[in-house]
Amino acid sequence: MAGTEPQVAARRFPLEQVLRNLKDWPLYRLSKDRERFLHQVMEEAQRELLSEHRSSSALQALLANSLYHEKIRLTRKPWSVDPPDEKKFWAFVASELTRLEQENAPQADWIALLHKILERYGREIQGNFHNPTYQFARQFLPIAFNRLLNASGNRNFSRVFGNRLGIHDRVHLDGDVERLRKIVRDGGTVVMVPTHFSNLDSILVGYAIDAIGLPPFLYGAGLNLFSARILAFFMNRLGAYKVDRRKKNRIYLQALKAYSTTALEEGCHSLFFPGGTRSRSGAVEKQLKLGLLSTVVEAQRRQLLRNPQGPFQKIYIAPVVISYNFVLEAPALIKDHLQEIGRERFFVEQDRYSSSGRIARFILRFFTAGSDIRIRFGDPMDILGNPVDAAGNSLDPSGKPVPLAAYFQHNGVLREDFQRDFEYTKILADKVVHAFHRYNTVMASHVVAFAAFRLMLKRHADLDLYQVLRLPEEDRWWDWAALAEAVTRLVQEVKARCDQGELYREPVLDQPTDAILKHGIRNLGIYHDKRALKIEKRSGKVASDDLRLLLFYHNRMDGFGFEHHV
Amino acid sequence: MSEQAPVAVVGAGSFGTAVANLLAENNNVLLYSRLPERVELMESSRSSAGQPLHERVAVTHSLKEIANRCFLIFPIVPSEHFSGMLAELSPYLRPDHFLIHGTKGLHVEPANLQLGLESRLKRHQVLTMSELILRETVVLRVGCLHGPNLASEIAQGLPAATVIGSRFDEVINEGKQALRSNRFQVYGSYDVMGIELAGVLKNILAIGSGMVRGLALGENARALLMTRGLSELIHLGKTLHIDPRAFLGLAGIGDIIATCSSPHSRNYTVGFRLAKGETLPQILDSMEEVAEGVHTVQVALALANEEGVSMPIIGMLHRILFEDAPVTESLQRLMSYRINRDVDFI
Repeated sequence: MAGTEPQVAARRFPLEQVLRNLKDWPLYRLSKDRERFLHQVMEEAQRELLSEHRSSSALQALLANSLYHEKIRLTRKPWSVDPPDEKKFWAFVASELTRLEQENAPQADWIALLHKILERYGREIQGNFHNPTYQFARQFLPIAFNRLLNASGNRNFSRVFGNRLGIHDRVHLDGDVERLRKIVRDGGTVVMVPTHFSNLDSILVGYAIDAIGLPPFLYGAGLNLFSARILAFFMNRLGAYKVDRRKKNRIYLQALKAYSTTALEEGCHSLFFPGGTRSRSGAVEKQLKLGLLSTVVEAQRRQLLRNPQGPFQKIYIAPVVISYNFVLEAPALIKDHLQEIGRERFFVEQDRYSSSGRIARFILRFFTAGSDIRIRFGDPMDILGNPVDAAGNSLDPSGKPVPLAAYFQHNGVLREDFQRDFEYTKILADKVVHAFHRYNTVMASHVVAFAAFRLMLKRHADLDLYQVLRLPEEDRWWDWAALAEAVTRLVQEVKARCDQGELYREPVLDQPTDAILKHGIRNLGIYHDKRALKIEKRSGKVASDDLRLLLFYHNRMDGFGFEHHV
Repeated sequence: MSEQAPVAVVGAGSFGTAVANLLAENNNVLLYSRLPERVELMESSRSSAGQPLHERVAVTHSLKEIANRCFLIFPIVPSEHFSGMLAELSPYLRPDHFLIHGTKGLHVEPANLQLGLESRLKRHQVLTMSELILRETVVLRVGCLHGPNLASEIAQGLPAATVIGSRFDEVINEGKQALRSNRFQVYGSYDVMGIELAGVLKNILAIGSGMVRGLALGENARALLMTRGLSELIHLGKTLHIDPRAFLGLAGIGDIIATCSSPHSRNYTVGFRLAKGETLPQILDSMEEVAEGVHTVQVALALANEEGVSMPIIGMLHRILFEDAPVTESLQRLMSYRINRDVDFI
């Protein structure tokens, strides 16, 4: 049946590893050849930078601009993970810039300085895959998760050593996993692009990748996560490379892109969140960041150009949609979102969850929350968003195989054209956004939150959003019957969309409305200090402690055109 | 040069033929017409749509041949036949084809929809030709060719300029290279949708301008209609997320100036003859080629109805064209319309 999942898990996770020989793991190969890879990355970054900064003066401007940004970063946003010699290094760059300018130095000297900066960035970014740690983590994590999940059954820690529920019972993996496995088995390169709601996403997707039997993926983790020592230890060895979001200078961004491009070109499966950061509003991403996504198109074109006539390593995009009942960071995220849309002012991302203790508590709380999480793998597509058949061939709108190389040909010849490829990246981004909506799994809690917030907006049609959010406690309630009616209509529409293959739903949505409502309210934002929705015992009415939280969870179903159905 | 693949023009109407002859100055050209007997006639007479064919123009009625031999294709067929043509061409197309269309019309879904004064059309029901190409074919590198390009003047070898709108530098440059000559200047723009809509919507004003001329109301009245009409089009464009600047270039104002003043423009002619007392069916029956503006009036009004844009001038043209409203009285009403601000769209 389209749109629903079988009630009983038909698959047994974890599945057997697709590539049994460690030496076949791309990340392993990369880790064995670190220096060569690093030099390839630097060369690639340098080549691109020089192609856009041909003259000495252009190069000088590029270096000076980067120095300027780094100096600001050093004084305004220092972090404990920053290496101690940073100030010294940039002081050296500053003095070199002055010297080269005074001496009217030749082009080669400017390039040498650029090279030094690139090498520093390259070493900072580079991850280090370490197989024993990986093996340890993949054994240890599910056990740890299981203990936590079981403990949460009735929040009784004496149950930590019981063994009732496994992570596989709580984290549901849906979608055509076999196709992904086949692509990897046949030597294709997979780029996994998940939606991003929570800091836990990367760990969950890491777990999911392992559970469906794929080798580890290369992953760019925020440098702030490395400030937690425990996490840093794992991250460093699991194939994560470091992304420092504070560094926005051109040289750094180019190094980062070159890292991703080169790894993909080498056939390294990669994972990145194309939304850039966690969704502040709680809505499924509509706008993606094009930087990392462009490395996919670039890598594919380079692969094609390597061997214009013959076979090539093909890159596949696998969209992943994660559905939560509960996002721990929701209160902070929605606050950021409201500030953003309300005042359009720049705000500094705060690192509320980056110390070891906080992250540990975060994970503990997350899993003790004990509500279901659904991870759906969408059908893989090629780098232009075309669907692919079982053999991995790209298909045109009529379902006919289409040669990928032809997209990069001009008058019959394969050509490099950055402008074209950037437009292709935008096309891909649109297709990924579409997939995020298409493979979304609607949960009971989403429906209830959406219905409740929409009803509230309707009831106060004369107020603007901010006024509604500030409504006093006595106004923050719903009649059970009215809410049930709205939920019934919504669920009907959700089912219709599922039948058309536009959406998925969790099985609870096939139960009677009252059951959906109860299940939804119970699971919605469970374990927040304030509840987005709760059932008042005496009156039987539904009430909210925090309408901003409710807005956050409501947003999850925003952008699908459901507004007219409440 | 002779090694190079020929450039194709699909559609041998007056504009298609003019473009084929322009292209022939730089390339070998393959000109397509749907009807085998027409192709035969073109071959034997070495002429098409009343224009002699350049010696480097070869003719064909095979879309397969077009797709197999050419990389660069200019589809220039009336909008009502565009999707039918694409359905036939699409099976032969590959991602390395470049398509630059020169059709100034819109595709509406469902195709046989009857549109009236109160009709509403949602944006997704209306497709520009480039949107249609993207949806129906595997080709991504798409562009449009719009500007003040009266076919008869180009055929006479008079100087002109045009805009190629495309997201891709590759397409703009390829189109420029193929078309440019010392009498034909080619500009580029990334705003495909803006160029397309400007080029399409301006036909409406050409009809109105023909009416004003037909009634001999004077140049002041004609300038009024064109300027205020343009303002309506820009407002409509803005609700469809079109940058007003698209209307201020060659495809917008440029084309308005040319077609609103020229008896060679089909749309202008429709308006002119209506003012002289003929009925729309009479006029359309006697015309050899399609006046896209007639259909565009309906589509634009239905879009405006849906978006809540007030378009008094275009509404008036609609009543004259389709509801037999008397031309003179309707144009008089223009004078009674209260307008507060002159330029309120930028």
